[in-house]
Amino acid sequence: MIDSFSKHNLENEYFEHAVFDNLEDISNFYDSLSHNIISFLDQGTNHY
Amino acid sequence: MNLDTFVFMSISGTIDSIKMILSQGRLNDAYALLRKYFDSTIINVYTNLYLNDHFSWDNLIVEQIEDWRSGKQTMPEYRIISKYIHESKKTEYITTLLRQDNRYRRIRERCNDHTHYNFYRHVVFNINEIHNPKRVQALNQFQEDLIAIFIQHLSYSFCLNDHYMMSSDYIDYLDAGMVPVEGSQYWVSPFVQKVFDDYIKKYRPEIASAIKERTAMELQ
Repeated sequence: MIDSFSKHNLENEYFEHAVFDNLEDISNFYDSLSHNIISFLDQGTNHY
Repeated sequence: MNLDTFVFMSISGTIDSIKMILSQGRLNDAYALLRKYFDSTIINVYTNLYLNDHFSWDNLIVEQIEDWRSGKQTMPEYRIISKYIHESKKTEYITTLLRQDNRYRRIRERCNDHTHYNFYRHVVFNINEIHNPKRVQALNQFQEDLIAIFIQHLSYSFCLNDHYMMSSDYIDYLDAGMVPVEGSQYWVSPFVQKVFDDYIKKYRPEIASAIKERTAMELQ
């Protein structure tokens, strides 16, 4: 949570910056990739 | 589960932490975590490359990676694993494209400068109570650095493990007891195609072309 004091002193342009969307995309990608690997991993043949 | 599933989950957590810290206006601290993200991706590329070089039916336990996993041995230092990746023939086409300029060296310098307060100016980027006319400019740079690290990791991952891109269709057929449609093992998951379009194609089209040329996966 962003407290009102900090938000007041940070620029709106900062909070609306596209980097926050990028971070969401990247975090979701790693989660999806991890689940994608689990779905097809043949645990019996690939030790790693 | 394999090594990568846990590493990717952990990296996802690091990215969430960066978002939380940036939301508090702590750009300087966020750079310390960005440095960790950079290191995590290089370690991940190294473990995959090292396993690729050493894993075989005659060598099912790759000692160095097994010792790291079991806690007997630390990962070699960054300089060594980075050199191993950069000198590999298997990743050469990606390395050549990534290293055609010095952006990754500069990113590491920025990460280190923020982490270690190498210059006084970095101190103020952790203070959210003051008006900082350079804050958004610094955030622009952070965004550029974040995307570059992501692209580096994706590029090496697709080079070493292009089957990670596979859509679930092939497995879905098998799970349903059906014969998979011919060629469905080369279909790409929509979430992979999306980041390929939104990041690699958009920011590094020459790398996107190189990956498409060398993979059997049906990237658009």
